[in-house]
Amino acid sequence: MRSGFWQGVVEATPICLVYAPVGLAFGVLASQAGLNPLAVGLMSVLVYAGSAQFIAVGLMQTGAAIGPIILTTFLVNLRHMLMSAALSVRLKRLSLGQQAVFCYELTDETFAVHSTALDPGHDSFPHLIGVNITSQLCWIVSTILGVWLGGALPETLLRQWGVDYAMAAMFIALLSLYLTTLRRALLAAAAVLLIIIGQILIPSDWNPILVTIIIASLGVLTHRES
Amino acid sequence: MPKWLETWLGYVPVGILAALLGKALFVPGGQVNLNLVRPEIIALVPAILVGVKTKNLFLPVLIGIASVALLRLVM
Repeated sequence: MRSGFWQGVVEATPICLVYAPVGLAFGVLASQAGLNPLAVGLMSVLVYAGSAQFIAVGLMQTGAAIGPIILTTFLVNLRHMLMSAALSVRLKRLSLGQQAVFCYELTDETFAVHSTALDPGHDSFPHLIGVNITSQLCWIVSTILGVWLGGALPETLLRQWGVDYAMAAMFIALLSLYLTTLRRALLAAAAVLLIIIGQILIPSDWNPILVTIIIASLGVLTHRES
Repeated sequence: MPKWLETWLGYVPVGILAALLGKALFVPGGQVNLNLVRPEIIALVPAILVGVKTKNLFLPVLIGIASVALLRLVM
């Protein structure tokens, strides 16, 4: 069992390579938004979702209301429900408590590892959790370090390094996973167009939510069984 | 769960991720900016091509940030 856990720790190394730069960048943004290391650390423990944390802090920074913040982060993270569902057949072997712990630490990156390199149907719980705990630790540490970095380095230098682009770059990476067909790429382009039109007509923090509802409905209407 | 709802939920990630990315790129700081010749927009091209091609979560982030840093240096 012990070797299973440590094996998981080693397998989490490539995930940490992603979390270190993105986590640092998130910490920098959070420090610019006025969050302290404790708040950022707690957020990384409780929320533990890069995209949702970026969006939440971005909205807080512009003084958004609580409603759009909750609903936007909910929609951003809804994809994890689909991932848990995809893994659920193979998780039946685990107890309900183990499943809950596993799913709480499920992210896009750990999902990728669990659905390819690992087999939740056969791997031991310590092995699975070794991957998850190591990944989350990397995320917590790098986000807190980022707050410190944001306070220590001048903003012009951070901009020069492209740190402010980390959020957009992460969204590009995540969106790429879902651009499997030309139709889906067109739906994405339509979403970008709608968000720009919405901003020109009625600027509102609710716009991304509204656009998502329109795009998902368009997706259903044009859906073809593959 | 009814089938249509499952399909609908399957399209939520494309909608929300594209909407938020569009907002970050074309509405920086709350102001609409449709200028396409900016480091942030040009960097989108290599990053998304690599992302779609590899379905890797690390490479597009790396390439996106590196492209923006390089482009800011020369533009």
